[in-house]
Amino acid sequence: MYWLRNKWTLRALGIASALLIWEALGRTVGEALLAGPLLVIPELVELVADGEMPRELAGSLRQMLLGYALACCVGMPLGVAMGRSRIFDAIMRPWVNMLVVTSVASLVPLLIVMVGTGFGFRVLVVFIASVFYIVLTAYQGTRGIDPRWVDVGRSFNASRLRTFWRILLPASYPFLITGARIGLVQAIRGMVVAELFVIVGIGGLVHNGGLYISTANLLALMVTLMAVGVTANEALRYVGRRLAPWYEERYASGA
Amino acid sequence: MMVNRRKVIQGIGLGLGAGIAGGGTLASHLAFAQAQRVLKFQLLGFTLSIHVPSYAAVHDILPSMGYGTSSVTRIKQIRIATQNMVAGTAELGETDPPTVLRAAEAGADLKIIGHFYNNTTLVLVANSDKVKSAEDLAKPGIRIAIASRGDVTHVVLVGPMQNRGIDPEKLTFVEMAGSGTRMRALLADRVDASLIHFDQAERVAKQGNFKVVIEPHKEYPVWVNEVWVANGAWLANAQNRRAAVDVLKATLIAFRRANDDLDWFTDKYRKFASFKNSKDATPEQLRPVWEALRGPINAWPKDMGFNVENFRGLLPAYKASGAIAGTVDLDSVVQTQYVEQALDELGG
Amino acid sequence: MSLARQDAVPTYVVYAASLVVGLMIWEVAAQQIPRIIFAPPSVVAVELYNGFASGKLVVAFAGSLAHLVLGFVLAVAVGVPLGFLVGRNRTAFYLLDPTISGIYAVPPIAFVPFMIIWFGLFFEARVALVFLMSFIEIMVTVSAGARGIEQSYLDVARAFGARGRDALVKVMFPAVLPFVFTALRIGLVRAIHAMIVAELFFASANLGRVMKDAAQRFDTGGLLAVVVLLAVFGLIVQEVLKQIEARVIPWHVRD
Repeated sequence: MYWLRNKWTLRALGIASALLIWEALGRTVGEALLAGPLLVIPELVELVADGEMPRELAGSLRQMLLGYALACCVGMPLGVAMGRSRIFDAIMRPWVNMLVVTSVASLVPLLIVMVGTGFGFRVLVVFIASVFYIVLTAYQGTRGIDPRWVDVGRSFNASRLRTFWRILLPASYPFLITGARIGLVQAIRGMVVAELFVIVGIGGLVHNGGLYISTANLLALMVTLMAVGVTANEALRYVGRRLAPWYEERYASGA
Repeated sequence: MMVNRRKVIQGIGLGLGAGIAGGGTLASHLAFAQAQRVLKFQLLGFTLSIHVPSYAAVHDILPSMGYGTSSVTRIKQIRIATQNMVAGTAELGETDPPTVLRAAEAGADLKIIGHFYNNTTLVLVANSDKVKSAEDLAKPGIRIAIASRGDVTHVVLVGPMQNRGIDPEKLTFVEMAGSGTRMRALLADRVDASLIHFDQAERVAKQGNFKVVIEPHKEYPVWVNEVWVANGAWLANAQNRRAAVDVLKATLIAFRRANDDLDWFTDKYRKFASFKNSKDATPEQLRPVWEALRGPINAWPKDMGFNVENFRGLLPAYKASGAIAGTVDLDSVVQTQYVEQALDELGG
Repeated sequence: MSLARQDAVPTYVVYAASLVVGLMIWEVAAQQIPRIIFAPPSVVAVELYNGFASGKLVVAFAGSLAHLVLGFVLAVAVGVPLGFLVGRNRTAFYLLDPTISGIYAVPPIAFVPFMIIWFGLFFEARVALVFLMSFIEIMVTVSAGARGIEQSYLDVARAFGARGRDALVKVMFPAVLPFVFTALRIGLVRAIHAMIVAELFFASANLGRVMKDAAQRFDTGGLLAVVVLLAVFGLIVQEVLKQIEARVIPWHVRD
């Protein structure tokens, strides 16, 4: 039964059983409450063929990626710095810990006053939605770095910057990658949330989808978002492997 | 800056195109004095059939009057839309009167300057296994989904209940955000009645044993559901006042076309309505809806039917539902002079 | 070295100073914006005091905590073991990963219409949303941690004769604990989010109801009072978790 242990077989099996359960549930409650995959897949094909959805999605992803890139650029160094400096930790921690639980929705009126309702608004919501998760994960990881490693660096007269790049960053790598992945998911969610406030892009389509009696449209859009999320996640895994092959060894050890 | 310049250039192109197409009849000398001004609009989430003419006014008619292509932002929540109008992130907005009056009571300098449309297409659809008539709504255990207390979805039910001698306080309301969610809660038998636009009501009825139990447009002598709003400080500028009059003129032109011309209405419905298959709608499919809107509902009056007394008549219902405290100075918030001027200039 | 300098100022002083400075910036900034859009902390403080004095916020908060606690406890009970399984068992990983990543990518608000079908609009629905939002987060983080356990640890443990349960308890569990704590933190943050989202998007109740009523009246002070209450609550539970972490896994926490 070698084929049963093949990862693609397993993945296909997993997806197939999820689809079966979904179809069964869908048939029980009806299309208006939960359309099954047999209704959603043709709808999805139609959405893609029509061209509007891919266009809106591309626009949404552009602003999402910008917000997410900003969140990574700000969040990772901030988290590492908080993990290594007590003073910095004390200054930033209360705000990070409070803002991470604050829902973006309650800040929306303020954000609109600050940046309007255009591209900047959507980028800012994505940024806020993801940055604190990236900070917290990096912080958590860096705090756990064995001080002896840093001491070793010092005994070799490594500069602070060199210690950061050569010791702290590689050591916190698994956490940074985890943070990047959690942050990406939050960024995609933030993108949809922002677009549900100012009806545009893929979030705007989700908003309109709520109006239709059949849920096929809504679910087709959700499947699209899932595909985007999974693809982005896989892409990050790939980048992670390329940037730090040593991480892959541990990572694969789960097999 | 690049974007702005491109938008202006686009606006000039479209404006010229529409001006030539319109044969210049609509492009008055006044409109030309305002050449290529781009107005910033803030409109709400869905475009249902009742909204179609005002959308046509913003997107199609204004450019034909010499304005640049309108800049339109759509906002889902009426409260945030209203806050944005206070902050000045848009010049003209679509909101509902109770929210504006409540904002005015909280100190906002907002003015209601015209109807976005008249009356309403909201109807209360109920599960007819449990609710046979409007009176049954007051029975214990009957749950009615509304967006939130004090907004139009709540206020619109207060009058019909009072008309039947039922204390609106006796009803069990379940507050739920999102009209789609309210509709599905009804379909899933988690609430027993829900407010739905009549565009959807027929389709909901096909899903099971549901029927319309209250049609607010038949209950209120006048009902105002959505209005044009501008910021008081913005209106202090003469050029902005001119723009406000032009927007109302465009709205009136759209109202008149929509009333008289099913083909025009169908064309604009295809272009603007949020429904999935709206692009394929035919005049014959839309005729029943259109007949109801121009007839009994009187959604697009030729003179807009805009006056302060309409609002004064609604204040008791607003107060009874807790939508407003009652301290608002209606004559200061509702300003009719812009509609009057627009009517004068249009004639007829 | 900077350590000496850092010890000169106790960190709690820095922590408090950061809060004070932050509040001052907020106060000054909010004074420039109409009250109908955003309120300064001085107004929020008064609202908070009144809310507690009248008991309104206390009652609402207690109601909110009920489904928060139940949903979160269920999420931990299911999410940690399942995350461990998915992280260490290849078959489980490939079977479940696509579906979980898919669900993970979609904003939880999008699930609200579908959850109504099975869980209704009240307590059960709120518990279900808290569970869904925090469970996935916990599972994903724990499985990432479990996958990242260094094979060398396990090899060494085996060389010393550790087998089966022993290896699990003495090697894997301690190795994955830092990730469990990260998961608990992020899970709890998401749970607090879900708690308030549920109260706003199902039938409005408790703190969500207070927020919605305040928003409806353009009472930004009252609205932000709830936001601040939740932020402070989130801050406290995260600090408590941090203290527990320092005791449970002192080897991870640098000091």
